Amino acid sequence: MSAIQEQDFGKQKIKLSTWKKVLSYAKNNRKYIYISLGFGMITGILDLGSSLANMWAIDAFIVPQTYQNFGWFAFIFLMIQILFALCSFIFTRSSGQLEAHLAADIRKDGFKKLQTMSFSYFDKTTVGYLLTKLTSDVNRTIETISWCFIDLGWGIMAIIVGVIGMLFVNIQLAMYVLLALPFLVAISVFFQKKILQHHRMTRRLNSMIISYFNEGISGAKTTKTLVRESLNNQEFRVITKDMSHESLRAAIVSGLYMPIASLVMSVTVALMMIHGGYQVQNMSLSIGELSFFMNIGMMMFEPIRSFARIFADIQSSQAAAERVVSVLEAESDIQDTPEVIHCYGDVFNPRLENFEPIEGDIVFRDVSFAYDQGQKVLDHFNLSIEKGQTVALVGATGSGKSTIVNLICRFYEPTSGTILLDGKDIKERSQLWLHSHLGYVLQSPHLFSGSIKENIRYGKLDATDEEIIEVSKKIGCHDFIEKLDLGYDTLVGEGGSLLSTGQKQLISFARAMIADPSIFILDEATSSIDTDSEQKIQEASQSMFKNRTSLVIAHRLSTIKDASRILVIDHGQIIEDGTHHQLMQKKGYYYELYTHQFKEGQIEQSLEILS
Amino acid sequence: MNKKEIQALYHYVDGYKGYLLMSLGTMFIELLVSFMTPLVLSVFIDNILNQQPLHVVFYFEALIKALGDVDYIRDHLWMMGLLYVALRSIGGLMTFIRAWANNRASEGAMKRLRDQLYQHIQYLPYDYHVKCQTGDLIQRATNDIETIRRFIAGSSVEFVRTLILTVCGMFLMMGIHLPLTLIAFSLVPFLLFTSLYFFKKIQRYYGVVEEREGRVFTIIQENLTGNRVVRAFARQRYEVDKFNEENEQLRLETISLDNLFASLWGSLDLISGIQISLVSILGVYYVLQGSLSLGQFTAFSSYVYTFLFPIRSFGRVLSDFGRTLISVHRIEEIMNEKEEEGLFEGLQPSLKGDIVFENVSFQYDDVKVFDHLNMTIPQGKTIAILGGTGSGKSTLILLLQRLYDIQEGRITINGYDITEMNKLYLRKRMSMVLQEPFLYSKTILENIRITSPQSSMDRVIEASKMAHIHDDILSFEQGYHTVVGERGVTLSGGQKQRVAIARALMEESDVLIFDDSLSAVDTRTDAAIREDLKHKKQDVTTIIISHRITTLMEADYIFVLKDGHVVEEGCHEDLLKQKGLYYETYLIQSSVAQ
Repeated sequence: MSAIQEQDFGKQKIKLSTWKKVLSYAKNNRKYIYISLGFGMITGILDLGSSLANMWAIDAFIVPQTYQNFGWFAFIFLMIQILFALCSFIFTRSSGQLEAHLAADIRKDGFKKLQTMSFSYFDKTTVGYLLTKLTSDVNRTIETISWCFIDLGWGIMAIIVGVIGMLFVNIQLAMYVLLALPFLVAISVFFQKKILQHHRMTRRLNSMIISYFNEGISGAKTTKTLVRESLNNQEFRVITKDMSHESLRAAIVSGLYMPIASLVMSVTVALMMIHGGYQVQNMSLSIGELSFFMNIGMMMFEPIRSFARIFADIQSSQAAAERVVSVLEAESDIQDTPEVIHCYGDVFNPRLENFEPIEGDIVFRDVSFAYDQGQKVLDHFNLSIEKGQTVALVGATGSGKSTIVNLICRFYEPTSGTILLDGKDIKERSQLWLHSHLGYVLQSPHLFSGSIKENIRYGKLDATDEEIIEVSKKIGCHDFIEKLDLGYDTLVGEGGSLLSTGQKQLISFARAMIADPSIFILDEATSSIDTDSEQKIQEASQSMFKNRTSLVIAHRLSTIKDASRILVIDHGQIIEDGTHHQLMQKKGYYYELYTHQFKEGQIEQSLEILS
Repeated sequence: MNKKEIQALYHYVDGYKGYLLMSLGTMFIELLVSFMTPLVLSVFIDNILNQQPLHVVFYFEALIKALGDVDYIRDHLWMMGLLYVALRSIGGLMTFIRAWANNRASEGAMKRLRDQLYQHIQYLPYDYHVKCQTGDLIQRATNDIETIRRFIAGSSVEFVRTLILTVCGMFLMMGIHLPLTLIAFSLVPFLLFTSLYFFKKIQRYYGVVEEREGRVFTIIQENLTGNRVVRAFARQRYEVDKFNEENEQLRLETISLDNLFASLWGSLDLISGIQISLVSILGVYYVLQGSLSLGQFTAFSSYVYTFLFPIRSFGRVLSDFGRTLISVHRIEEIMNEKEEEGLFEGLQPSLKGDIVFENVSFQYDDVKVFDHLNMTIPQGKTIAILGGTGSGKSTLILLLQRLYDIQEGRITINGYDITEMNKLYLRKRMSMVLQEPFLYSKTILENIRITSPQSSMDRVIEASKMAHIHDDILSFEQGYHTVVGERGVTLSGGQKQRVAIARALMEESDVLIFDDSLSAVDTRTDAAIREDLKHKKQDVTTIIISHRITTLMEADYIFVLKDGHVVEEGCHEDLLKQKGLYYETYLIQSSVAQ
């Protein structure tokens, strides 16, 4: 938990560029901003209007005791109130629309952006973090920005017309309000700063609570087997205790703000009352005017308060907004060149008519590669694979097997050197073109929630049920699927959680098979499948692999012994290269690896038993 | 209709009701203050400036008399100013106390609810966690609790406050001018009706939007966790289309909800606008007629704001209440799930004995896994289990740990039936390493000594060395203090498995279980780990599930499972002679050698 990014909760300066970027999504909905601002302003004028109307009522009708023009007064007063309701309807509606459109557009763009990012981006940013950026951070940012325009428009207008109105009616009394305003601003700034500080603390604690729940829930199974429930509870209680203390402190600070500010205002009103009272006694001020000042005196505080709040809201959403913008502005480190896009289209609008088939000749020419962390995995690596070969990669963990495969898939790009596919630099054609010819099966297979059928169909969106069953039969998962109550319609659960790892691997294998790819990549794809089932897959693969290039990574040697070529990789170098028999005769690393699997004499012993 | 939820909500604040009552108490003082403040202005205008005879409520009249009567005050206007400030300050103090008390109650109640919920989730059965939707559960534990907290801190008291303020305000205003009061309150039924009408609608729309948001959330989550699959199959466009469809729905539904809000606010503002107009226009009329004084009219206008305006928020309070009940319902759904039984009571015998499955039958919801299974696992030996996908290997382990309970037969350890044992004790004495282990987002060090944070560094290093992960850990920049998981370094599958093994080795357990937990480790390291285990955990019964023949053949005893039955058992040599499934597996995997 110590790793929660502190900068989220540290001091944040408001950066205009961030909000500009956010608002740029209002391009097609800019009218809503103007409507909210405009009608907010009108409301500010109407506020002054109703105070003036009250003053008018006292001075024009009540004091002189006359009904003259009373009908006009009634009409105007009613109109002001109706206009007020109309404004409130219009600006609430328009800000609501702005909020909905902005949030939807930003989510849309953000999601799309994430689809274009390469593996290295996801290596660095975790799913939970990205998910927050695209959901709660977006909501928070948009809520802040969408609703501030009403208050902004209203506040600006209320202050301007309020001050002008007061100066017109009575300059002396107006001075009291003008003198009080700086105090109110100072108090507001002071308290908003304090409130913000506490707010950051509570938000930090809150995100810790969320991560604890996250772990408590997704780690529940492990917690059970470890019997760590009570320790978890203890840890959690420390955080919630801090949270309740800190929240209360925050509540006290923000609870003080209003009473103190309104104390300043009531002192101002009291002073105006005394001063104005004397003026009324001197006949230099009418009673209507005095009541106007008492009204407006209390009202002048509201815009200051709402400015302070807008400011604080924007400031506290700054971090969220920056996170949102970081997704929107992210650029993949693997990009297709403009020429490539011109010919092949982009990820979302591919020009399939220009997609040529893959033969499957792969050449690594002087390729070096290092992950961001710096350790060099491949150093001037050379390899050439002929089309139709089944190549097995063997080596210890971290030797570079997966890296080689990932480079072929262009999930990463070499630091230097080139990879040629069918004699052409891999960069000369689009990523989508390459990926749509790949069949890639991973060790930890990811299934999407939905049915088994839907998951297999992911490999070929227009596959018929018959095709799905045919593929399943071929790789031998048909039997276990049929045994399930709902057969192919059985739901697999979140990430496939309702199936065993072996079953997930089988289904992900079927998914790759049905895609009918030109190049097969199996990265530890069968590690959790029993030998019997694996055997079936192997047989199926034999026919599938015919005439297609395939690369297989496996720890179990029985998985790879039939490969047309076995490469032993150690520290990013090919140290042995040949068929199983050649390598066994060589008595090198491969042989040793093999004899490690079967200790010396074990095989002979076993053979004796059998004979 | 929502009786259960309301009861639950009521119980959430058990022990904190005093604060809420206190908060309500401040309201009466506040009510008095809000009533008197306009009177100060009214008396000031009517009696002090306009020199009319004093005619107000008796206690206020007494107050004025106490200050030295109208004529005296006329020469000392500051006294009225001071009175005004004093009343306002008392009002402010009450507001503060109310905020404090409300938060005290809500924070206290929510801390308890969070703790209870967290603990409850920990103790829910294994099966629940297999089936639950993680995202949804987290959403409930965080967002729904926040909704409830807000309601307790704000709306709950606000609701009562509005009622009291309105009713009391009405009676006080009647004392001033009856017809004008009746006119002022004549539109209250419209306000209430509008609020209720929209409340129902908004609640429904709100539910729709919530649900859609959940769906969008799930799509993003699945897309991100499966991002490798998406790319490998070049399905970006498909994913974007899928997302856009839901996102557009969400957009439209949010707009409908927002429009509903706009209509609500617009209508409420319209009704109260008419109300204020009526009071102002007719007020002036009554003043001209002479049945109302100018000061009273001024006071009346401000009463309308203080006592009538809160009704406008009635709709919001009601819709908050509706939302809160939904949240309470969602929390209670979890709370009503049955916790595991037998966690804290039961026998705690020594587990140093044979593990015996007698006639064990078990089925998941409809899938039969074991039908009268019999097997005996001898104490202190290394046992290996081989079986096809779905043959029940993993289930066997879950049953042994009582993460699921068998439906027929019995399982005994050292002669004791495991159903009579304390579950926590049973699991504690039996360390298990899962195939896809979960590491907490803590440092590696904290992860390894997760169940006993006080363990010495030496022990941690010893366990890491035994699990052959020590060197890997040292290669990280921050060594044992490297943070893993969500916000830290991503470990490879094999590294995770080995950290989990080190974690299991920290325990003083009687049984060690490896559920295919070396599958991502290369064969050489795999062998080395098992070699170490053999020497250092000699007295411990070790159960290994594996597909690797090299792992299986070195075990003291091997079981072969098929369709929930033990089809072969014995040592390596015995099984080879049986020429069954084991033999076939052996042939396939060892044929590399020939």
